[in-house]
Amino acid sequence: MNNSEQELLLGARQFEIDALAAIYDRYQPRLYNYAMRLLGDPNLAEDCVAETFLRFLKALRDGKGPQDCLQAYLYRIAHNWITDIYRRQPPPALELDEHLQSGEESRPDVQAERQLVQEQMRAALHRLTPEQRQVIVLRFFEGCSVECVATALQKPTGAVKALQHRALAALGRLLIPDGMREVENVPGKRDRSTPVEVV
Amino acid sequence: MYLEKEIDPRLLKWFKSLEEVPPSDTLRYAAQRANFLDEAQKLAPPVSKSSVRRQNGWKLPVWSIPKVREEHKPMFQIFSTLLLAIALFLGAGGITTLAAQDSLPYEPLYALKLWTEETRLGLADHQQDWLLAMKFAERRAAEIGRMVENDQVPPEALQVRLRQQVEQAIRLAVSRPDDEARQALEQVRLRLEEQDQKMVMLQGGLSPQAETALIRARETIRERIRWAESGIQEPNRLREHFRLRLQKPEIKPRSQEQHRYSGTAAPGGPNQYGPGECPDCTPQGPQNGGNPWTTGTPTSGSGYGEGQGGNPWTTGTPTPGSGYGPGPGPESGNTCTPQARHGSDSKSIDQPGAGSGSNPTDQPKKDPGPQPTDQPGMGPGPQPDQEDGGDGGQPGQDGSDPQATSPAENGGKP
Repeated sequence: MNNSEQELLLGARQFEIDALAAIYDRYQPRLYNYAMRLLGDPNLAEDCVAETFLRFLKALRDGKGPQDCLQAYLYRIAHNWITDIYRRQPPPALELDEHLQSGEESRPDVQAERQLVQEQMRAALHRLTPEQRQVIVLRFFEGCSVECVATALQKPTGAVKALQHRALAALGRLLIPDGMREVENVPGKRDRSTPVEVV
Repeated sequence: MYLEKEIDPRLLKWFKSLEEVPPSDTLRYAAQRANFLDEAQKLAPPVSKSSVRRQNGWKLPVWSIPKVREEHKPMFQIFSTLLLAIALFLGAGGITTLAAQDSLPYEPLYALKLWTEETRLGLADHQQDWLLAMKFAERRAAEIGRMVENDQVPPEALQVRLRQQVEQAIRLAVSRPDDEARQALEQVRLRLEEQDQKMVMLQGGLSPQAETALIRARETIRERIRWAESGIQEPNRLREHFRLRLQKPEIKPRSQEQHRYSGTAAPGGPNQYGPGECPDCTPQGPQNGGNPWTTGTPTSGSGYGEGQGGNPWTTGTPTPGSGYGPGPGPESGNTCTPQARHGSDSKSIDQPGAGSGSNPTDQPKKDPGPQPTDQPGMGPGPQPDQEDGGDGGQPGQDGSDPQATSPAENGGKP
């Protein structure tokens, strides 16, 4: 954790309004993006962010809260909230359309196609385990390091790498119509996952 | 997009679709920021210590109420103390039980978790018991999933428990009347498939032992999916399958259906089902009422119809193809000789009823299995479960060999 984040955390524990405001301004956009990628609903994403910061405040009041890596701590709260939402909702149907083709961005059918792809990705993420989902979003969309993700998940870094590997394999099985049979031929990749038919 | 090089190029399309996120509304952002800071001020601890609470008119602190009373009421004090103690005990017990729900094997509260499940299942009514059993089976599957994710090897007891609880859910579901049983089994099948899919997600990158355990759990689940599917087709066959596995009286559906065969189900009397307690072990040919499980001529090798002797080891209805009970013989009306239980000539025990007439004391694994038959509806019954290396056969299917391979023999393939 860098010095500025340490200072912010110190001020937050003392409930200094300036420190708390700075924390909110720094992490709200990231948390919002994280929630939006997984939920796809702006209202839900905002609820998630609000609840995350509220729980953060309550933890500070109770003398708990993070000792370091505030970002990972906030991501963990958001992750738990989203996981609860997922548990209440059945996973959306994963319908793959093999005839999707790219086109100009402004065309309505292209926009619809893009939305469909987004929904497919969210549906596939929904089908991952909660930890696999968090690793994918934090590593590939939020740019978190393995160590930061390990702190967020409270797991060793080796477990995070294994989770990342399995999560990518699982997404491949879900999204690529022919499964992952050709993955072994991709240079630089070593996939030990067993190919499974995509349902 | 970060770490693009680590993503399969074929997946990039989906990853990039979530790369851009529309920003949150500016006004809502400002409003939520203000709410957050307000909440922070409310939750902020006070600067100075709170003053000692004193009685202020009618406002009394709760703990001072007993002291304010002028009358001495010992019964009230005893009663309130008892009530408080009971509430604390129940609360503590409830909290402990709640804490146990998330426990895994090897953890101290896991036994409490299992006990709670058993109690709940024992108290459940018939409408919900199969649902509850299925829920607990899903918990076992989830426990296996969590353990392999942490690269732990699930203990053998957990694998056995998974199998037993899935079977219990199926058995409870099929014990209902046929229409309800089919619906219940369909739900069970769907939920098992969901569990199987979740386990698929976990495969890859595990230690060999964890991978083997996961594959084994998947084998267990998929085998029971096939049971559920066969039960949806023919619930009675599945009921018979369970009856024989449990060696208990026939599991009848809840509705009082008329049995299509004559006589009652009580074994032992003439024209009853099965040979029953038969000192003379007189087999009954078709002209005497015969084997109640068939309406046609027994097929050679089916294990039905006349044989050269009854099996003194069973008092229940013989399983088709199990070799118990009368097997087909070349002549009808033969009187068998009662066989001793132990130390007798194996040849005389293994009567050539072509259901392979195995001695019930033999290990099930040595049984070569039933012979396929041509007559519809008379396929070989389920085989004894060959746990824990593999699973039992499907009930009421054709004469295909039951699945008896262990995950190791499968070379770790799903």
